Amino acid sequence: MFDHSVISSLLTAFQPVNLVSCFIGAVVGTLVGVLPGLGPAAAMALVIPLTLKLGPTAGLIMLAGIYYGSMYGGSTTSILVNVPGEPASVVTTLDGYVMARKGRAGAALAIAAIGSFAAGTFSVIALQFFAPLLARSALAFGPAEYFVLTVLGIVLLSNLTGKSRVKSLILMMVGLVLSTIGMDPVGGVERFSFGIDAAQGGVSFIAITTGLFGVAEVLTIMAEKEEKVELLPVKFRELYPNREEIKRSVAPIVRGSVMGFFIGLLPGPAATMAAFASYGLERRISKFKHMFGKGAIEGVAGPESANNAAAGGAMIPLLSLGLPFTPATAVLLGGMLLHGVTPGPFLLKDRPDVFWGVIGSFYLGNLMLLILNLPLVGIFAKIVRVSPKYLMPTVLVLCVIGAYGDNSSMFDVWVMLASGVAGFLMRKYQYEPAPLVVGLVLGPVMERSLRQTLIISKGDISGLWGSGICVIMWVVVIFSAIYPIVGHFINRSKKVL
Amino acid sequence: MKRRVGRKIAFFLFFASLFFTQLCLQAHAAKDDWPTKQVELINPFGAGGAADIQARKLAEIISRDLGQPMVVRNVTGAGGAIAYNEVRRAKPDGYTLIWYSGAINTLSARKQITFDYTAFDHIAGIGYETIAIAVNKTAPWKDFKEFVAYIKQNPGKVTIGNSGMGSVTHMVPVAMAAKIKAQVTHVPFGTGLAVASLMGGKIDASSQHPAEILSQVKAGEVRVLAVSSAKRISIWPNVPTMKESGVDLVFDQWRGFAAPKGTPKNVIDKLSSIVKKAVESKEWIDFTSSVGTTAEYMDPSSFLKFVAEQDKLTKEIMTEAGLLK
Amino acid sequence: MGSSIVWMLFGLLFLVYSLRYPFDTIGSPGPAVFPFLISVFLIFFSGLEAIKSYTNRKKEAEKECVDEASYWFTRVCERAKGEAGPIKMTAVFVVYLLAMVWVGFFVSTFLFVFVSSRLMGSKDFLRPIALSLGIVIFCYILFEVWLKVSFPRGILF
Repeated sequence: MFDHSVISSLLTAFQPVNLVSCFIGAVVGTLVGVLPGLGPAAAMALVIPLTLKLGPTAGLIMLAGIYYGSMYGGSTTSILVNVPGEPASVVTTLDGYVMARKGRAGAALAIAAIGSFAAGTFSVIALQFFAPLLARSALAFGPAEYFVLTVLGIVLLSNLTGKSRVKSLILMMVGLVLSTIGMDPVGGVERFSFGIDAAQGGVSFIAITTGLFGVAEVLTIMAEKEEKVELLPVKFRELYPNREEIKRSVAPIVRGSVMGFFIGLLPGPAATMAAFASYGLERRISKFKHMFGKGAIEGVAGPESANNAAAGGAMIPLLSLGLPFTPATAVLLGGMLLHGVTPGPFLLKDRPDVFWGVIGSFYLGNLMLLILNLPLVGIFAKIVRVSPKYLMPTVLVLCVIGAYGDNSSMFDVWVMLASGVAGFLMRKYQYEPAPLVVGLVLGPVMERSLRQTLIISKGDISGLWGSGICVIMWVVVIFSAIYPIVGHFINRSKKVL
Repeated sequence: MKRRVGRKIAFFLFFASLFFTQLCLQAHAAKDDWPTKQVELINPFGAGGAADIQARKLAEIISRDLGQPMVVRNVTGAGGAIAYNEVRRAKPDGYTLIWYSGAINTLSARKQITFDYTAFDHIAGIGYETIAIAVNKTAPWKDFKEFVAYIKQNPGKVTIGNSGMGSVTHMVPVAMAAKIKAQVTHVPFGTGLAVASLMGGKIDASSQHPAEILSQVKAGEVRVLAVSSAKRISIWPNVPTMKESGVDLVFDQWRGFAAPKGTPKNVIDKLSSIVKKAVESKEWIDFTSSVGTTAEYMDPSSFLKFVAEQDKLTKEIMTEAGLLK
Repeated sequence: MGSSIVWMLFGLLFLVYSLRYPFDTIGSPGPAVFPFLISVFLIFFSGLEAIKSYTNRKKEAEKECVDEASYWFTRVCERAKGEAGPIKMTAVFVVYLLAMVWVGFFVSTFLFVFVSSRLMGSKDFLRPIALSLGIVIFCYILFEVWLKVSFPRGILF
């Protein structure tokens, strides 16, 4: 079955109209990823009417191109100007931006592109061969399992930045608290809007991240202006990663791809969580631990691979069960229905042309994106050499557009400014803002799943550890929470001795 | 000397840019020849859902006759309250419309918005969308009657997922429980996740629009026990209505177009007739029946009357279920 | 230590505020439950941090043999250095956002880019203005014309 279908799939994708659609989708996707404020879901929705004229195969190839193209582009602004283009690339700012300031922007961008390519290709291969098998496993996760998973996420990521664990936990809690502003995800009750109409919809994730990272960075640069940051001139050859950087990236890319793919199978903010999880893992096991936060290439390679693999993983529940777990795959499902294609187990039987066309375009699109992105690295890398007096105003306008564009709301722009000032102060007082983002992302999932679990179990708390998966995860949670405390005491007693 | 020239150029550029922005903003024209620019359809639902794909498809058909594009914009949050607030405050010039649905009834009943359907000029009703009660393929109940009997014997034990408290998918099981005088446990989800939980056996049943479970039904993963509309729907001719199964309940999601109060009558009439043509086109009827909805045009006055009735009905159901405080 | 007290107050604000919403029952937890729990955790962790930084500081103070008050004074002075830039920038930003309501996105952005570029050290007029113009035209073509994202319009324009 494989040899024949693989050939036919690639042939479908190579038809001129599909080739062009794939290319357009990839270009638009990259653009969407680069520009903050226009997410893949919104962009795909905008393009749907256009794809209707193309027919199902070419139309869906274009939509899919935007979907994974945006994952490629997301890292660009994170690395260059500390403004995350997509939620999934927040974590890339931690080391990517530091690399850029050290003159290694080109290396970071190139590794991000290569990692994305490797992860994207890996996830298509896994999608092609194991989709039906893996789709079932996603169903084992219900509300109780998600709740434990979020707790696990908080515990495991509490030393994300490797500085103070307590400070990280404080910021995660702040993120969780902020995520409760707006409508309660279960009962539909307005909360914490403090009398502001616009706050009813909650605080925008994009507004907070562009503020905390982008605006705060501009303010920080202004504060240290006296010292005059002079960027070293970069030779063309040095734009690309050197041998050592490539060598150090291989293992993180492989780990990030595998982990991201499996996280992608689950609902919720999978791509973002995959990136964070990969960063946490790399920081823990790397030989260059001390370099994290100071421009470690592993901190770019791992997360950027993980979020692309997660984007691929999220296609599995969509294609084999017809279940969209993320906003972007929901639009893809909508696009399929508009084209008269029903995803699910019968897709392969009913419309093999569409199914294989889309799969084939994944391989092709990833290659196109790599070829498209590598030359761009050189151009983009020059951006960091633009004098701050021109670059920074541009960054600020970019932040405003990003925050506004998400919901067309001025309130979000004010939230962004407030987050910018807060982010500036946080850095001054040695708080790393990334854990706040973790809380913000996990908050709604955590609250919803906790309350759903209790509703389903009719108030019986044991519902929270009602399945084997839950119990295993709780054990990991308890172990990881106790381990650092015990370790602390062991260290202390050693010192005493 | 050189600096002087630079300054002159600078001032020239400054005024040139002011002029440029001014030009860009001059897009307003007289009302008689509506529409002279794109018409925006504000969709309170998220991109990709059943409501969204219908809005996009219909907007595309309407754009052909409108002479200007009709653009769908998703304004989500607060269960639709933000979108309704925005459209109510918009200029009543026919360029900002709302993708209107039963949410207006539930939002106003729950006081999530400070106004109700009377704050809008009704343009056209476009059809109904039934709510299906689906169960896992391994569920012990053969049909809706058995399901109801089981609920009656085990009050509060059956968990039914919906796509959010106060949504129409929540109203139906609430009203059903009230009709059979029994208790069920409602579990609010976002769309998609309820179906996954149903397939994973985490909940017993799910109340869902047909479009959300089409592929799962086709694959035999879930079974549909009953639909809430007055008649069976064309994609599932074998699925009985609730009324046929002995529960006297007819409650649908309805959809249509509305504009802020004070929109000129000629605009409403013109748009309504274009909508009528689109709704009755073969393309739309084929599409809607493929996703399990029913196309039916309503003119402005009968649409208003219909919405008023639905408003009363919604309030009754919610009061009965103790959802209004 | 000061910072952890700020976080504690922040948690307290949400804790108190969450009491305004119903808790309901454990079988159907109300909207107050989750924010309440999280605020408790936030207050707990910031308390922990406060204690930690207090003991650390005591150690430091002992080492450097300075008294509490002068320690604080030097720290505050150290930190306030170079603050003029960010404060000015924030003020310009606030004016920018307020101006958007009156003159719309494009005009206010034009002025903002120009002013902030001067603030960041541009010495001439030509280049900042060219930059402003470039950004405004770019935004108009890319977002307004092509992507159909509409920016806020002012009352005047």
